[in-house]
Amino acid sequence: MRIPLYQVDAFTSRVFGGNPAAVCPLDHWLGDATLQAIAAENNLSETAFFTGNSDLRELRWFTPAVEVDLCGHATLASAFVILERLEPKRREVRFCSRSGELRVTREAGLYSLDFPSRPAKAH
Amino acid sequence: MRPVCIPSIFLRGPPKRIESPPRGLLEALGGEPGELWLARDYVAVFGDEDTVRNLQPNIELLRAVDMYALIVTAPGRSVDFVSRFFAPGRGIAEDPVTGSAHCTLIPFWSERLNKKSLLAHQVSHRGGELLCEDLGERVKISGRAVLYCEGTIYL
Repeated sequence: MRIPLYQVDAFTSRVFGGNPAAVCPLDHWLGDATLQAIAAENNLSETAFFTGNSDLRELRWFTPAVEVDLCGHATLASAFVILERLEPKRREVRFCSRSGELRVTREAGLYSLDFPSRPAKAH
Repeated sequence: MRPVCIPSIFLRGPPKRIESPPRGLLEALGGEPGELWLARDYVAVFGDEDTVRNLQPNIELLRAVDMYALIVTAPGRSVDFVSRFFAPGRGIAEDPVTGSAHCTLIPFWSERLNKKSLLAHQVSHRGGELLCEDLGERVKISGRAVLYCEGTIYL
């Protein structure tokens, strides 16, 4: 089996800046142990995997050690791969994730993530 | 477990400063913040950008603090705010750019600066730029990205 792998620097406009993420588009989900092993092998802070089609994709994020609930830079990196390489005519990507639905839009090279607010509160 | 798409519920809480930091936090920070807040992460607020840039927390001491992660932040010189993110307990000494930290930083600085649109820099070694918008219960985080490499995994 062959799986495409992209490494994207997110939240920057120059290589070696921002936060690097690995992105793997999948035709279908692989077992959790395989996803985790790929993330461990990549050894980047996060590896994102997604399946699905243009209408709605499922997105998951793995650190080298565990699956996580939310990751901004790997979401941006995933949207970048979809909108730059896989479907360049589109301007918006919808993901379904552990943190609910996440939308990313592209305008003039700027990717916008619509995320839940998580305000600081009384401690 | 595959993701189940349910609406996210993240309630706003009235912000209040915490007066007594968790054990070991100040020692690990290596500096005393003007204020300390809590969401998922602790948020240590400093008075100026240079303090945040120059801060050298003791990562080993920080690992022992009972918390998810630590954000340090201050008003920026050329942008609205700057920050850095440390999560040694989760295997990340310092994260270069952290989208999820801005889920907390945006409502905080939006209220403090009375602005809905904010420009933020994460002043780690690699550095990151984030355009932020406070949409109430949600936040919009925007940035650019660049492809570093492309390849194939063989399984």
